[in-house]
Amino acid sequence: MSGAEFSKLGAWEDRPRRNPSADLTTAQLDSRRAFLLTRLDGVASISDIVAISGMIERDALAALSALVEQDLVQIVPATGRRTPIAIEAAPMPVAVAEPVAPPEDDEEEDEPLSERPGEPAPVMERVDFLPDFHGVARDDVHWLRAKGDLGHVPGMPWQRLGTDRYGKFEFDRRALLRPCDLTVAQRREVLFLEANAGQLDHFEYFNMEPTADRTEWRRAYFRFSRQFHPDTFFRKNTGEFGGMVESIYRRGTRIHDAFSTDQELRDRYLRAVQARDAAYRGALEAARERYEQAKRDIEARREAQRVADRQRVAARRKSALRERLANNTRARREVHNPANERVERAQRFYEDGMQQYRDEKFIEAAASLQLAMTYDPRNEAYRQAYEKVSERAHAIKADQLWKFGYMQESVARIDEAIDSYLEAVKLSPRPSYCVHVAEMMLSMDRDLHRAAELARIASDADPRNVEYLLLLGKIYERVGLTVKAATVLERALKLAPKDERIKKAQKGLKR
Amino acid sequence: MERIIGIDLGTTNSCVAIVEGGTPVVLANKGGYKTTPSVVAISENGKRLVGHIAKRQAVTNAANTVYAAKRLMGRRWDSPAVRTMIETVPYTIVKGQGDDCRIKLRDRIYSVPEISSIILQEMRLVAEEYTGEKIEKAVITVPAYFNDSQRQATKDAGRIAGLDVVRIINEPTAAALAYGYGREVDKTVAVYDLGGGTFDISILRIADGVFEVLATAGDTFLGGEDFDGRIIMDWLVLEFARDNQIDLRKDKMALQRLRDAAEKAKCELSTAREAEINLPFIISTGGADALHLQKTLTREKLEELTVDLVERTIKICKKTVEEAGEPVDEVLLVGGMTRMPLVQRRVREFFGRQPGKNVHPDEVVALGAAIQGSALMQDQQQVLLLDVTPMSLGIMIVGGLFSVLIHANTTVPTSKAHIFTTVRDNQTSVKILVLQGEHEQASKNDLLGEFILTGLRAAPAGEVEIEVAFDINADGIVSVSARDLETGQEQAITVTATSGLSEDEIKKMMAENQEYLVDVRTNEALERKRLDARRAHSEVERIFPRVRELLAGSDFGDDAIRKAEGVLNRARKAIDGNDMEALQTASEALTRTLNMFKGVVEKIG
Ligand SMILES: Nc1ncnc2c1ncn2[C@@H]1O[C@H](COP(=O)(O)OP(=O)(O)OP(=O)(O)O)[C@@H](O)[C@H]1O
Ligand SMILES: [Mg+2]
Repeated sequence: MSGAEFSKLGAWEDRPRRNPSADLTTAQLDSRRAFLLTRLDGVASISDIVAISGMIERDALAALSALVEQDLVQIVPATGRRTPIAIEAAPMPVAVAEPVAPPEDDEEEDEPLSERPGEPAPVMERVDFLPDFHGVARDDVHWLRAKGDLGHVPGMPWQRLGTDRYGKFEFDRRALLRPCDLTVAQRREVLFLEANAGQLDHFEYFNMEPTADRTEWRRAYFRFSRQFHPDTFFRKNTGEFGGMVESIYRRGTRIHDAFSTDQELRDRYLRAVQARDAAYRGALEAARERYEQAKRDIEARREAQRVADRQRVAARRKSALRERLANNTRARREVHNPANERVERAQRFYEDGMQQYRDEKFIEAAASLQLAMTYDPRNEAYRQAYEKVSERAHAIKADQLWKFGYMQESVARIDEAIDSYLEAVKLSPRPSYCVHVAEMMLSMDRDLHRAAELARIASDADPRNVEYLLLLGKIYERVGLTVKAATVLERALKLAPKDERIKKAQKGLKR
Repeated sequence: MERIIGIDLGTTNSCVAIVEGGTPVVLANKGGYKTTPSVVAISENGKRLVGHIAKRQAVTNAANTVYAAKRLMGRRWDSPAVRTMIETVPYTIVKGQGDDCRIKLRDRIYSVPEISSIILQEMRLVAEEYTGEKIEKAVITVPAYFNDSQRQATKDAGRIAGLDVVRIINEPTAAALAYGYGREVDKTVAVYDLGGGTFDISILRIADGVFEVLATAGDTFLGGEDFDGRIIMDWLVLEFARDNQIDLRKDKMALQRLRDAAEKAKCELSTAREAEINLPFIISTGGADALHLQKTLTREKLEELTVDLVERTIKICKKTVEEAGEPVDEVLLVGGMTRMPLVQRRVREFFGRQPGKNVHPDEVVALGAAIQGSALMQDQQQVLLLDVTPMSLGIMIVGGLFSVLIHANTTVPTSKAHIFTTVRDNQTSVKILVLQGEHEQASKNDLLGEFILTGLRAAPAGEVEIEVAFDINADGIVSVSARDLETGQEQAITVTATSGLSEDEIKKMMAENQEYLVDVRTNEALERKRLDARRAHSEVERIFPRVRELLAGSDFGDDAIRKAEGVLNRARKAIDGNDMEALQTASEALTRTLNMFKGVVEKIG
């Protein structure tokens, strides 16, 4: 839904004012509209009025819009900037906040809220340190610790974020270029293992997946041996890598020897590495979860901030306006007391009304009494009197309208006639009127839904009237409500089984 | 590319191989034999004899003929093995300076590595003959259960022979290498090696061209020699003494004859059910008459005499299989003694499978050594050997106990450090005794060497910490260092002490050997020339009568005949002498004469 709904209102800056020539006595006013009417001083803008109304924005706008429609209120377009009225599709129920003291420094009013400096976006926390033996069962930790570096399980796997074997390890470029017979790949592996032995579990050391499979283990160890056994470098110049190659191979064989002779070590170590990996994945998951939660929290806080901002602005405007209105009132109050004046005027209207009533000028009486009621809404007597008079007034008015309509019809001004009739039935929905106008609308093919409504009113008032039902059925049929038409005709046929018109209508319907 | 030969330096027989065009081949010696007896002798005129010749003259020159020298390698004078040897061998074993044992041949004393170097030298010459190139590098095999001293001694022997010993490898491992070389093998293999002097059992995992030794054990004093010994001492000597009240052990020549006969009978019994031992004139009784020995040995009797020896090997196998912890897929038999039916039967029973037939028990070890040698030369190695240390290694600690640092069957190369503390107040030095073996009592293990770390801070017992670090390299050779953690002071040794030879001694021996080698080589050239000259000489003599007939009468003819006679005379002298130049001249003159003679015969005759 867009602002089109309130297109009659124009812009937020426009000023509504009462239509001086409107007849308030006959106006249909609910409490909201009546209240809004009293707020209009021709100075306050729509946005101001909405702000002070204490109503939900949408409701206030709707009421104002209705008033314009009723021609009770006119909109004076603002000169200068005009902001079209557009409100959100799913309006937030903005709670009426306590007036908030406007900030000391007068902020630019139209500062866009979304660009307020917010808190920084959350950063995914990196899981880059976990203590040794992280996630490993206590029993295994004790047992493995006693084995020294053979049982050592680093706190987290080396290969962290789906990187390659070397991950973020920074190679010493000069070392990679030193003169010797090793290939670059060999140098990399040597430098990597040499530098990171303490951070690698045994499976990583052999560049293999953790497994209990002895064949797999041996295969990996053989691969490792082919890389590092001294014979591989026999008669080759290993340069500064010689010592490293030796110590790497020695470490590897020590691990392998221990693993192939100590079943328990193998079992516990594998279990520990698997538990560690699971714990690491858990830690990653938790970090991600915290990150998502932080994102949600920040979003929620931002939203709250936005709401608060909006409310603060509204409150500021409201209090500014209040002050202005208060100033106005104060100025006026210096001339006369408006409350007393109202009561007096109400009394005068009431007296006028009663006189008119006695003179059997019911319509005038109703208008006067309504004004009296508007000026002094708390006076019960006025309301009762109005109710008594307005019924009569409506009937009389309806008759007048009916007669007027009839006149129009007789000179074939069909549309004017129908308008008049409709006005009449609106005030006094007598079945005969309703049926008349409905029949006319059907034959003239005007607003058939309204016609159906009227025929229904008539039929509801006199349910056993076959004529009414027949009409209703015909209208339904015309607008395509065939099921409804069928039921109505069925009812009619029950009341008058022999009526040929009904049967004909039913046949027509079936086709 | 430089060639590396593989030498199986056996107790009884040695063998040399080389890889040619990717195929390992065993090289035959001059006599056409693929193995050469590991026998060295010094002849009456002081000549070195090696191999078959030495073995053939053993009976007549028993006291100066060394066999089974390998059993003395790296052993201490006072070790039980040396005691036994002294009692049973006909040559003289004496005590060396470094507590080692040496061998006295004629008027000279030889170290054991020197004797071995003579054999290695011979094998080297075989290879040089075959390739026509000078060979300088070798891989030499040793029994897997050799300790560090024995390995060191073997390496020294290689050096004395002028060889660069690029690697010492274990015999069963070498056998496995030859077995698995050049084919897809993914198996656990047991190598049962029973040779002339030693027994080894190794279990290997072979896959992807990698040979990983899982476990190894053995007995370096258990082999064919002991089987022969049983026949001689427990049967022949006993029986003869019972019949004749004479102890044959006293007579070196008799003992040597018994030895030959016993071995011959033992080998015969591998195919036959009984063997005749017939030794006439075995010993003289002082008077004119001599006694003869005539006996029949049955296979049953032999088995009865030696069954406990075979059982000993099986016991060791059992322990090793357990240690390896993996089911064995294939059993290989290596060494001459595995031809004995009893051995084959017991091995089959123990492993529950028929031993593999596709290795040659005498040649496979040398082939493996050659394969390892050539692998080391390649850029991308086809095979890789992951061997282990056969014995636990450690030091003696307080109470005479043995504290192991590196356990048996640890893959080499390896290193291990351990921290020890002082045991007495104000102890300022520690003696580090490096030992190898499996006994918890330090004294029952082999002492590899010792050294003293001094200058420790005087402090209450247990306060000063000393780090002892052991290192075994890819040859299985040990070095040890001790470091005072407080001062950083360090003492290190490569354990060489009991190989018995100092660096100087080795250098001297190398030089001597070089001389000998030059001698041998010039000698050979001389002999070749002599042979040429002799051939030409007899050729000239052969056609001389006919030429004389044809030319006689003319002045020219008489002159030519006189000249030819002179040439023949000079040639005869040169052939009998040792003058290279004279031989050369004589040869040339003979050739000229021969050509002239041939021309005469063609023209006139
Ligand atoms: N047919 C046979 N039957 C029984 N024994 C045999 C036979 N042939 C050789 N032998 C024995 O095998 C031994 C020699 O074996 P081999 O040549 O493998 O030993 P080696 O390699 O010299 O010694 P080692 O490996 O122990 O240093 C000798 O004792 C010999 O008597
Ligand atoms: Mg052998």
